[in-house]
Amino acid sequence: MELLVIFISALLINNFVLHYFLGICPFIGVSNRLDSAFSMGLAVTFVMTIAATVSWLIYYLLLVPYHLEFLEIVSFILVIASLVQVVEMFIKKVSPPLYQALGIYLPLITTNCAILGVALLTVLKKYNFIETLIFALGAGLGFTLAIVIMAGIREELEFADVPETLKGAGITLITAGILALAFMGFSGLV
Amino acid sequence: MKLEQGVVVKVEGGFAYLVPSLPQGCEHCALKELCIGNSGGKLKALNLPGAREGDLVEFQINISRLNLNLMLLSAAGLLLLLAGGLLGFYINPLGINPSLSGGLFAIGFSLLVFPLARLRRFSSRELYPEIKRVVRRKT
Repeated sequence: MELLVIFISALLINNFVLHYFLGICPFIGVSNRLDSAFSMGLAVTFVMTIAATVSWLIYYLLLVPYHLEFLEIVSFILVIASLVQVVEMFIKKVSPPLYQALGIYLPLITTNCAILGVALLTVLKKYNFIETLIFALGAGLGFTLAIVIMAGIREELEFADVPETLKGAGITLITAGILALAFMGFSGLV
Repeated sequence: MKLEQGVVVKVEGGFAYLVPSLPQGCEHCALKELCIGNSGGKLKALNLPGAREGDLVEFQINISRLNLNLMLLSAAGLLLLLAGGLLGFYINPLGINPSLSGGLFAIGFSLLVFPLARLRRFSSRELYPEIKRVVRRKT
């Protein structure tokens, strides 16, 4: 039950994009097409879950025993950057067409603060390993959900009569704000 | 599916390397420096109409097929990671610290996605963008 609460909370109630406003750069940048948004969301979910898992292990099995907790941000950034590099090399080797298609997303994942946010929050919330895994998975799927909804709305907005001054980033941010308000409705869920 | 344009810069076997022309909509994009066309990068595409170097061509990217493969690969990786983590944490076959065991099994299981990704479907020629027609031959 506890795990379900953590999952639902990360997915809907404390959604990383619409509650914490983390990962806004790829959220705005890659949400103009539904298919690109979906790819980005999946790639982020995968990297986020692995990064949180590895970061948790490094923190509790290396930094805590040697009293090096002050290095957590540096080490987590290194873990995320290295993981993205490994994923990039791996995809390039095994599937060149996928690598070509993902080319733009991978650098964006490295600089996605939502991934660092998940790793830091798991330490802050003192989650155990399984809770970390479920939390990261929920956060990643929450990111995917938010970016896919946003992409759907933005595709519809292409046909809307938006005032000239609000076109582009303006209407996107207003939409994100309204979406965040809608997600506030989940607050009383758990 | 939308057709895009690009200029062929190199032909190799059944493939052509092309530099895509940026659509007008990309002009104000904050990420345009990262894009293939804008960074001087080349796109490898299936050269079915026999385009030659310098030709302006129309090509198509099969996004839905790419997305399906990406989804399968990501989902497999996540499921393996989750399965490994749960197995290591709750069953703890190594009899060590459950969290360490969960971590080791999760990472170990997620490595299984490597042989999985070697399947032919993830590197199939059909996943490459496809040149549909030559718009203008180089004079």
